[in-house]
Amino acid sequence: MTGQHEIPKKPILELKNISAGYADYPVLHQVNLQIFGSEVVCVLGPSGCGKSTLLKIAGSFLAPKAGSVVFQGKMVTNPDHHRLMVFQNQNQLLPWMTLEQNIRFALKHGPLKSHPSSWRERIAKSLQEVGLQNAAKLYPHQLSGGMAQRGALARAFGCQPALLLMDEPFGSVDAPTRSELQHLLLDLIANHHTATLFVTHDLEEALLLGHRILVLNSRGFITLDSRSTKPGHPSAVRQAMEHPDLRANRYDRP
Amino acid sequence: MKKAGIDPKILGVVLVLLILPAWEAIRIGGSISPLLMPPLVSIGSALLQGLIQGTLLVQIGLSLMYILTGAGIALVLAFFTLWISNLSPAVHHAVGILGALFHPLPGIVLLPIIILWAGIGPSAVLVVIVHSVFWPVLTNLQAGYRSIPETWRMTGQNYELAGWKFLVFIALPATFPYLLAGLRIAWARGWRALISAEMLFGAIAGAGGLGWYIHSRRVFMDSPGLFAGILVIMLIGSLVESMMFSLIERRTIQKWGMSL
Ligand SMILES: Nc1ncnc2c1ncn2[C@@H]1O[C@H](COP(=O)(O)OP(=O)(O)O)[C@@H](O)[C@H]1O
Ligand SMILES: [Mg+2]
Repeated sequence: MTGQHEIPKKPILELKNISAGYADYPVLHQVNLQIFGSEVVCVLGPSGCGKSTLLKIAGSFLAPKAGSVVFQGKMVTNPDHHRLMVFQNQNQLLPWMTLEQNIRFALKHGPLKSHPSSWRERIAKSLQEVGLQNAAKLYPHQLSGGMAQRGALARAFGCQPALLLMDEPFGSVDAPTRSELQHLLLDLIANHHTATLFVTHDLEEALLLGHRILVLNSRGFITLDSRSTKPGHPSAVRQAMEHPDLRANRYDRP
Repeated sequence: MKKAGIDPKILGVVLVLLILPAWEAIRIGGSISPLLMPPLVSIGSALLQGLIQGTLLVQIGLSLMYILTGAGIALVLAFFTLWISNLSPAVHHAVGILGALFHPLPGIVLLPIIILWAGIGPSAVLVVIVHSVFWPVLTNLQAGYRSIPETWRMTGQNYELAGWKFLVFIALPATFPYLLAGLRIAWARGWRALISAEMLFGAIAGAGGLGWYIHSRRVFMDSPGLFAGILVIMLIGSLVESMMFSLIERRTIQKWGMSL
């Protein structure tokens, strides 16, 4: 369904020659990356290689040591609600608010600051989309792991961001739930055409979701960018499966 | 779980029902002077009279006002200090060191110095309470602030909450369990320190409050009044501890699944 979708020429997000790290500890080196509207870019790589760091750079949560981040044509240095993070952590909904209040909070401080009249409708719609319309009044600690991730998706998609930054969002749920969530995400992305930078260490997940697959090696260099392939495209599958930086990952999986 | 199924409320009633006759039995059996152990009836009537005539009620109000004012000042100071210490690591460390030094110091120990600096009277009592409340609240707030999960911080940043908005909408609710824990300690310390300070200042300047009330009952050899005052101090102390704080916890952090 997303295969025939046309990808615009101008990138939504551009990372230009980014080097980044923590204190004296370098993580990313000369990373160049362009993400175009409504494309899903999956980032694969061994644990600790800097995938989360890449997302923090893309969301301006972390300032690069060198290089620049250009979002919708402008240099950016601070996080904003047009580039939303979704985490692996099932604690990401704020526990002192019900699910519904969490979404309202996001709309109120984010995209619908000056349109309180449209909050209610938007909340109902985004809960509907993830199938949680009956859980609106529950507190996050009352949700199962899978429901919590659905709730996080509802909060994020409810804000209709230009770019989603997802950090192994389905990494801590059981296999059947993961599969459900992956297909839910495919539907959401198809309906919203949201550009997505999706970090995972699961090759099959990347092949299922991604239009493009990036491989980050353990030294923080991008070593594969399977540009202009479609999801499930044989050459993308082959390229990724045969990529030396992913072999260990693939066969180590329990 | 089920076998130790004694309801603590029933146990409390039973305990009181045991203590009251025991008191009377010892008093009558040992023919102890009513000055040392007044009859329950006279303690009860002293309590009622104090409440009805207002002499005791006024002192209760005064003590509560002291502690609320002191706690309010201490809370504002603690939040301000937290904010300041977030601005610079040097301030943060300095505050940490001061906390380590002053936190363990009982408020009452400061009294001689406070008397020198602030004189005797209400302001000195307030200083003692502020000291007793400020440090436990501040150390707990700082611990809570440090333990805010990165996902909540980043969520706050994502919705462009910075400065005071971050403090109000993310940091305050996120540290609420710690704040409550700090307030519990602060209450226990503050209430004790307040009564002691009132007794001391009552002796010198008639500053008022429940401590002063007890002190004055002793001076007038009014034993029933003395015991009535002690009862009130016990009751308020445990009511706040076991009812007010428990109620707030049930309505907030327990409902949110955030208990520490
Ligand atoms: N806040 C931090 N301070 C110091 N080092 C960090 C911090 N966050 C991550 N690192 C280090 O940076 C490297 C990359 O981390 P990360 O981007 O989280 O990896 P990944 O998400 O690919 O597992 C790791 O070696 C990690 O230990
Ligand atoms: Mg990571």
